[in-house]
Amino acid sequence: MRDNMKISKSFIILAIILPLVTFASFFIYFEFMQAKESVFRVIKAHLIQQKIDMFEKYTYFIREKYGDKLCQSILKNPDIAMELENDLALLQEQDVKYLYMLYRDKDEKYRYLLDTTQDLDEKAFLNQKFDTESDIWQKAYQTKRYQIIQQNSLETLWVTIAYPVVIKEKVVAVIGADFTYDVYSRIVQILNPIEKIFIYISMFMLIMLFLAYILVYLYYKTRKKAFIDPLTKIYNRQYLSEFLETTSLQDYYLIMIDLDNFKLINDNFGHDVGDDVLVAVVNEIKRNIRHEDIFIRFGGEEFILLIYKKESKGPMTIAQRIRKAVMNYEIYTHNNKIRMTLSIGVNPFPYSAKNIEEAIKIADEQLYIAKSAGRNRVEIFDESNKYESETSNRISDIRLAIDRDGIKCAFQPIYDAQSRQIVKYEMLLRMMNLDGRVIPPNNFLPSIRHTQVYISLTAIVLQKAIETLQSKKNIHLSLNLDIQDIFNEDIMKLLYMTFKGKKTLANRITIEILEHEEITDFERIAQSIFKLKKLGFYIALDDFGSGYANFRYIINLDLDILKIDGSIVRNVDKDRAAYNIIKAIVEFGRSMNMKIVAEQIETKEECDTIIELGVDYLQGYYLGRPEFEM
Amino acid sequence: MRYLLVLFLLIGTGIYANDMQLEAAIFNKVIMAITQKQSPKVYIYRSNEALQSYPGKLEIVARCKDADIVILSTLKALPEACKNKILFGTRYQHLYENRVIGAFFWQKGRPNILFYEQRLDFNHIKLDVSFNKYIEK
Repeated sequence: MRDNMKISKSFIILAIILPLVTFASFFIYFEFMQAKESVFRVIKAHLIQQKIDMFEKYTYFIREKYGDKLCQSILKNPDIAMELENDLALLQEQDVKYLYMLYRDKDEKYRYLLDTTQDLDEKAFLNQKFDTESDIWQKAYQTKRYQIIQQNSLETLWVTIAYPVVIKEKVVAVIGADFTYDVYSRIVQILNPIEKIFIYISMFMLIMLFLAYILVYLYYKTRKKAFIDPLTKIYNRQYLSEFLETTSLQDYYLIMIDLDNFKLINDNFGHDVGDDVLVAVVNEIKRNIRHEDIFIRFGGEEFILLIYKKESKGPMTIAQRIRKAVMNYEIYTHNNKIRMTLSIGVNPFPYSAKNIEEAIKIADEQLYIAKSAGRNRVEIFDESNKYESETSNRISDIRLAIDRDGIKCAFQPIYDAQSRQIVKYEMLLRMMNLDGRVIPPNNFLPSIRHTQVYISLTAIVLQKAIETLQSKKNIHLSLNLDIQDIFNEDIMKLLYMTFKGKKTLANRITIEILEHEEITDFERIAQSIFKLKKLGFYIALDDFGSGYANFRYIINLDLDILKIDGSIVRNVDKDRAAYNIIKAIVEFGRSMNMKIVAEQIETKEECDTIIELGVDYLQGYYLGRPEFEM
Repeated sequence: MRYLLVLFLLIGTGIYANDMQLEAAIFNKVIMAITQKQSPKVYIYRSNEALQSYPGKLEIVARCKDADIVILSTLKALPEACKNKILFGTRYQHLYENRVIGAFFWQKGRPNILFYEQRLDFNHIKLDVSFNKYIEK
């Protein structure tokens, strides 16, 4: 069984969009940083150009005034030095921290000529040596062009300009201008809040991304737990809808599996053994399916298996393999050796159904047929019957059948075992489709059970029963009702309305209650039976011994007849266990003052054995098939 | 040797993070050159934050008489014991005093080193040729 926790849309959104947004925010941040650097470059270029323009004018002035005697004039005449220093100071603005003029002596050492610095600690003296921190001064001398350097190695300086004073094609001095970080800091101060916003957004997105992935991880971890059945460790039914969000049923066969008579295991061995059996059967089924197949505990002892079509054998082959594997598997638990069988319904075309419920319903119907046909069987939904099996079609089909009188009742005789006379007939519902084919009730009743059509159909059957009883004064009829029917207020109301004041007719009707699932609400059954008996009906429990009914609750119900399940009657002449069961049921019935009916008698040998066992009434193909006419 | 200052920046194994570390590194280089010792003893009069924080290979001594060299932050009230020691200034003005052989100081955000040849000769100090750039005649 594969891990089918598929990626949902929300995860795709988280996995793609969130990283994209995070990446975008980082991208924007880096773009901003580049823009910031660009701003710095432009401002720097602008500042430098401004100074260069001023230096150009200044050098023009001193060139005109002092010519190539500039240095000698400054060095020899302090007044000239002071005058020129004052002139140079006029060029110094807030952005320039130090402004000075240097010359190169014969030893190629640079020395101060002028220095506009006011701070005495920083101010250099005339002719004081200047230690060059870079080669821009030398380059300015060599190239006769101004040089710029970004002062990365000095903390307080940002940019330095070395502007050569060229007189008669010869560099006589260099003007130095040091820009401080003040300009840079002012720009940074302006841009910092914007930069911070981008940093915060990027960080926030990064944290969000991180948190989102953690949440997604935790979500999937806990969600996976929520989809696993704690007992069997396979998926539970909640997973089915989750699975179908991302997967199409087109790729799967749908198989419905039910453990036969599982209730007996719980009743006879206890729930611990029941749990062990369930787990053992699940594990055995898992051994017979592939990693790609989806195995779901649908509820109780009912499972859904989605067989992945790709490279799989046919669904029937797989279902049979599973059935046989479980049948041959011996389960050892709590000192008990138990064998289980499975009833399996297969829907090979789940994709054709309107929705998953419909697809499951079709498989469930097949499962029901398998159970009704004696269990330990696989029933597959036949594509040729697809039309009849689709619920919506069936409802319209039934309505059509009702309109054109296509709802028929067949009558199967029930004989008295002693007198061999017919004592009653079991009324069996049949529907004729458009082609005139007879459709048995198992093929259409389960899927319409909770619809209004079902009530209409019941009303028709009851009406036909009344008509039959009125036309044939000396006969007795048996009608089938599901256990759910007697819980259904509409059905009970219908029975009341139909037989109100017709107790003599009701006295000629036996209602056979069929149970196909475990009943826990005995009180309610008892109340319903009481109401039915009050109307005048006899009550029979159908398919007794098939697994659901147990003796304890039968004792507390006011039943008139027990109808032994056909699967026990079959081969009773050869099967000693069946023989003993029927014998016990007959004795039990007698002690409870109930009549016993054996159905599905198909051979003379079975019939003789049943009579020998003391059963009161007989029914089966050997004695009489259902006929539309009596 | 015009790249001496750049070399100073790369003294040791890495580039110095700030001006204080740079200053301490330069002091190390200069003092070792003056004293011709691998671990010279230095007396700091009265303070020198860079050397006190990053002494490097220098041994900072508490008494002037134990020192190979005295680093000055001022000349005022210089102890008698220091007067016959090699004095090295940290301001340009310290060089006005003839006993001070040289100085290392910051001016216009740049480190400046200055020695006077006569004073070096007087103290029998012979510096490496790489220091010629910093020696004034």
